[in-house]
Amino acid sequence: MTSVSNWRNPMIYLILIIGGILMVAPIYWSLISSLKSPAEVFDGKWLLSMNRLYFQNYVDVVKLLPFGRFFLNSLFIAISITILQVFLSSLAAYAFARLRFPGRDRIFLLYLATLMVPGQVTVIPLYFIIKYFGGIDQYAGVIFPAAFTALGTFLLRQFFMTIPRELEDAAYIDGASRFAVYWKIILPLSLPALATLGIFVFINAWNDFFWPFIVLSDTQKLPLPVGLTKLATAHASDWTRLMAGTMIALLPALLVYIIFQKFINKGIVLTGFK
Amino acid sequence: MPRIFKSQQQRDRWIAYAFLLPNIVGFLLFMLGPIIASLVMSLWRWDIFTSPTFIDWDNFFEIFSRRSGVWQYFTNTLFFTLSVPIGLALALFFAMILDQPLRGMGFFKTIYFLPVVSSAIAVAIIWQWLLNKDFGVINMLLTKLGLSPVDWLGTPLLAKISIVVMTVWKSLGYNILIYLAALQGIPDELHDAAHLDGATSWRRFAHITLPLLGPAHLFLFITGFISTFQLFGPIYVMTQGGPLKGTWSMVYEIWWKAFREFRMGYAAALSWILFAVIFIVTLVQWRYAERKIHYS
Repeated sequence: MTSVSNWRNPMIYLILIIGGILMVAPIYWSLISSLKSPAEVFDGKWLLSMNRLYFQNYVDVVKLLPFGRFFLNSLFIAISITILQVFLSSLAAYAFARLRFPGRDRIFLLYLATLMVPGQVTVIPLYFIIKYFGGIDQYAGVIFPAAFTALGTFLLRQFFMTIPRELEDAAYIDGASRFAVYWKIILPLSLPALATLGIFVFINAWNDFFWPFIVLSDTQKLPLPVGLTKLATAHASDWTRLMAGTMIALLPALLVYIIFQKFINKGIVLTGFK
Repeated sequence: MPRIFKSQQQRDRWIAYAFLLPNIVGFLLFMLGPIIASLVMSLWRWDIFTSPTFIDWDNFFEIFSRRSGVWQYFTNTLFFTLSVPIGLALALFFAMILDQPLRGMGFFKTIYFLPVVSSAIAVAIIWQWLLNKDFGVINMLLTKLGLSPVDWLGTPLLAKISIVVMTVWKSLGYNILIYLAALQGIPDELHDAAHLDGATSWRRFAHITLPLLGPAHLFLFITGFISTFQLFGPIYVMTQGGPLKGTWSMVYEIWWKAFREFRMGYAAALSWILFAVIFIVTLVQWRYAERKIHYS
């Protein structure tokens, strides 16, 4: 392709800016709606003066429903799922990538095949399994079913296969066990892959709705998206506070994305993970 | 050395099982077990309060009968998948632009990606606010342009369109990113050669870029289709399946039957119908693509 020199093509920028405005405007509009007083929210103004920001909405929404608590619940659930999923996937991935055992490839395929089955097929029996173990309305009932994924195992297996075996052979000659090699050589060498997987799992767990919505009903235990639906159904026309609650759920994920975006973009391209 | 190697291999087997143990337990308990249980449940009538009765294929007969309404829920769901071709065409357009070696492209990629990492529930509430009949900003803008305001979520067709628009908006950045990666994999020489042969830019696009993006099209079509078929949260927040069941999707019906009417067997049967539909459509797309795609 012939290279185009910088800033030469105003048409391209015009299109990109229009597209960009369409992408950001809904979020921006909601953000300023959350900073207007209930009397001003219908005024249709796109700009706010800095000294008129109405933070009272955030104070109010925390009183209506325990949003601070929702935030901590989300954090606890998402971090637990992330640690468990990354650790458990790495264990299985190591076995599939490096160890020989009968039926390995067939088990691996069966594992991958489950990715095809939509969550709705398993959700009803899963509900009763979790109920049997006393996990309904418990954090554990949300966390454990989400801790196992074939996708994480698949991604880490692919990464482990790219690590040169010579690094491990030296350790075996020194008498290291399989577990020591996994723990002291494979994992440290895979930190970028583990971090990428971890960020994805975290964002997905943070935004997850369907399963926590089914399992949890105690208001004190809800994560943000489920708590948000409570607010949306109970205070449907209380727009300023509703927007404040929405921002509490939205902004942390955006922040994580902006901080880690290089990792995330690379990871998505490699894996197609959403 | 060979002797040691052999005993190492035998030990490996047990070590491997130890490594896999937690995953196997989780897999049986949370995946394979529920899949089998769901198959079995689909042949029973069970309302969780009384003991289940075996009713053979009756749940499936009921699903396929006219009074179940499933056909309407299926066509609603199909309508939502309009977001896939529309979204992909837009994404390809923006990806072609963002692929140029110009300054500031990274900034735009970031901006376009923000909705992707947002919670679907938060996005649904935001769009509900934008689309609000009386105070929504979209109607405010329409009024300023001298048009009459529209009750976006008030009629079945407009509510469906609103959900399609929201879905396109939310997934655009993801689709762009995948297309960009695929575009960067197309060797420049192909374009240069076509350029020398005097091919117009439209012909270069139609005969080089578009066909070589085959695998990306296929991937995005299938994943987009599957995720739209499973849309639940936004519908629950924005329309509760209404108005007049106009946005009542297959997944919404499964949830309703299972957790509102407690008809567990019927809902399980329906979930297998959903799976069958997803499976067949994926297979058809795959087969169709196999004949057309050029893998490089």
